[in-house]
Amino acid sequence: MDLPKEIEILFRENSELAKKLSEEISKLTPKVIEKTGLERIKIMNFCGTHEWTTTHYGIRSLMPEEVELIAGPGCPVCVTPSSDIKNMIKLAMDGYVVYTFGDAYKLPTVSHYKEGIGSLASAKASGADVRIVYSFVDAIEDAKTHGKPSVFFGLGFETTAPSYAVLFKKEVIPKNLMFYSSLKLTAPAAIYAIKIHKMSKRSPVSGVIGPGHVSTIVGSKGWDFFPEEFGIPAVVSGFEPVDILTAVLTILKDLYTGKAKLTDLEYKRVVTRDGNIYAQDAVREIFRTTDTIWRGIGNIPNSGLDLRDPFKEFNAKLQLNIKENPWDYDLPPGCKCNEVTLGTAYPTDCPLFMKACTPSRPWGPCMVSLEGSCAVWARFGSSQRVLNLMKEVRE
Amino acid sequence: MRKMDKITIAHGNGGKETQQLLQRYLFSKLPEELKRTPGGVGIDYPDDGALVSNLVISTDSHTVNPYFFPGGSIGKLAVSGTLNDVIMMGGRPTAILDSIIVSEGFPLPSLDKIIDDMISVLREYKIPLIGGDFKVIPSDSMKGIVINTVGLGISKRPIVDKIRPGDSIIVTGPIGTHGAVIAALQYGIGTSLESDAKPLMKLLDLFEKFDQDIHAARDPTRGGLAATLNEWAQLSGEMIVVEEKKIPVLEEVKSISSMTGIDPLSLASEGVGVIALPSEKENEVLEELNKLGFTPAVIGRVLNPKDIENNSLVILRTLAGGTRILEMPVGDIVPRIC
Amino acid sequence: MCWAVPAKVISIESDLIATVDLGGNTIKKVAVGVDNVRLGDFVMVHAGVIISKLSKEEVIENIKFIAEQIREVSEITGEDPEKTVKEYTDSMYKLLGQLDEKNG
Repeated sequence: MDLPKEIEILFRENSELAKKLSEEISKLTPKVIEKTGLERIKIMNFCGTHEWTTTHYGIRSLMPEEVELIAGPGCPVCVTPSSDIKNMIKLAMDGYVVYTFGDAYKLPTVSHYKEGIGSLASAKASGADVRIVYSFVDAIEDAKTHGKPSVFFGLGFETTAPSYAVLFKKEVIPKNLMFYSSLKLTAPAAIYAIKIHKMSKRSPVSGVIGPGHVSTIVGSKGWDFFPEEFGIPAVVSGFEPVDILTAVLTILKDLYTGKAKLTDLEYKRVVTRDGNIYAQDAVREIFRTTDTIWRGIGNIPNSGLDLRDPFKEFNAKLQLNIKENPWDYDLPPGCKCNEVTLGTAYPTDCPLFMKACTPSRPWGPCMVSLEGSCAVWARFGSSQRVLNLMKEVRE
Repeated sequence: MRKMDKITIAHGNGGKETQQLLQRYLFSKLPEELKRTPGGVGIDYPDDGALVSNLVISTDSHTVNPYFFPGGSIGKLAVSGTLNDVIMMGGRPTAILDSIIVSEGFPLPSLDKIIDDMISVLREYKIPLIGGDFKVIPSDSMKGIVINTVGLGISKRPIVDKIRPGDSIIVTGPIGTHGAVIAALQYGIGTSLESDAKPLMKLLDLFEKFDQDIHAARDPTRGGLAATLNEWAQLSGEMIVVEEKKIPVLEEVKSISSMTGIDPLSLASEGVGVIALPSEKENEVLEELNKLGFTPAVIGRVLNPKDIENNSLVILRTLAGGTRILEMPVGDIVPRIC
Repeated sequence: MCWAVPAKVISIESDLIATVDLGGNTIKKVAVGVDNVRLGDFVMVHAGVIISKLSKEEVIENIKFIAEQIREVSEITGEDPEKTVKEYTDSMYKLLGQLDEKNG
């Protein structure tokens, strides 16, 4: 038995089922609209990889016009504050070996650290030792081989936190490798986004696709506040096209019946209701909750993680005396990335979009990350354009 | 350009940044008459190489980290890559020149092995090496080795890429293999996969047999299939529609790319051709390619878009039956966690 | 965020480090972020750490969840729920059957 292959065939390459689900979505949509009185049905995801699946497999081209799939603050590249990047650049320029995931490598600061140096990529171009790694394990092994003072740029959400925690727990980190935590928690930001939406003039968020891999750790129950407190159906979904289409169909059904009380769990092959207790314990043991800054949004209380005291010798912020400045608005003037990230504005509402801010010369973080909404709109156009393309290639 | 802007690795990715950089700092500075010889093909037309009457000339600098990899080395790559560029212009390679730059401290046994690899390809295909250069650079200014090669070939009927509506797009084998091997080595992933680096000499028989029909031919190296198709769409103004399901990708390449989040369509192949030809000839060409030992597949077709907004686009029909624009690769090709 | 892929555990170095095959003999050393990992287990790997396990039974549960949604939606849109669900499950088991045949 080859389980990964089965998953590929059933959930990824299953265009027959994808077609069937998309037809069901089209049939159900007018009924939901009739029953709820909504003009448009806005469904928000909170995960960069859900956005990737949606874009990569052309899921928006399979939606009826009234169903809009939007990206919420789930892309760490879009929400990592400029000050963190600047701190990492400074460490790199001061001679530390800086380890980063590929995701944060190109991410720009608002103002340059020094002329010409506004990202880890440009710091590397200026001679700094910046190394892209696939995992924390790889960084540890590499740091052991050279012994030079090094810092790991610890990005991530609940999913990535255990990968650090289990290694700290077993005391395998070499003394020359420090850790800079930029870890964030999704739930506080999701609540923040939904509350903002309630106040905005745009049509509200009608449903939520819960982050599947964050949920492997926190469990699907982590999202029960959506239906319980906000009356919004939530579905924890996997990352294959069939998963996302099923999630959309489930949300539509929940909107129609109005019966959803708890989070629906589509991603049953990977996620449980209670999550990964082993990982939760490890994270609790190593990290404490802190307030943290989200790019363009500001401080969100209890939405970050940092190393606990017993591990302070590894904490780059403490050891290198990096001051955490209060949040300084970290978007370029005019940039609406904060509203776009929260889903309350469309990229085309921003005065900079495709004028001062383009994919080849991005200003705002939403244009930098390939999954950022602005970058997606710049490259693929609005949902309308995608539907238009679909007509062109239909046999 | 700001005063302190610097070159980054992304400028050399073979995708959008490379195109923009060259356009801005090179092509735009040259008057049209200095972009080619009279009646020839030059940098006015981005193809695999240049054409001076019936002489095909191509040059390429090769850098790869690491320089030895399963299935070859930078030496094998430097010779076969340039031979392939000549072949994809419809030229039968006649000779090659090389220029090797190594850094001070480079191990001599490695250089010896790299040059052996170059010569073994030249011997196999009986291609003379008629000139070259050798330089050493101080160790603080460069690491490793760079090999530039120039290939010369003669063509009775050069292939200057111009796709037309109604063309079928064929790949001669599974794509992205070389790029996946290199990504695996760089990110500590174990694999039994070997690079596909090899000269595509056999394709010359096909090109000669179907000399009226081959509208375009390219080997999708840096930037991968996505870059090749986008260049063709841009050059012609037509639209290319590709079926993701039909694009052959080895299981190992799929695993490496799904682990790192790198799209196989933007990974380099070093022993695969992409060909555009009228769809009526599709079956004959497939049959011939199979006879020559390839494992070809028809992956898409060329359309004249109804809506002018859709000119010069490459459209992918995804595995899920959805539709998206397949872009020119952008940025560094690096693994991701999100 | 959070890119993750399925893999098979092919060796266990310690309670912290294991080696996985991501398919086609694609091998990576990863950290163990779950309890009780065993040789031959199927797992999900994110950024070099095992974040959860996968099992055939749960894949079946996943298939059933989709069936349930199709049933409920059919009831709303006025289709025959038994018929649509049967069509769906037949096609899923047909795909699984083809795979089993291929693997002998």
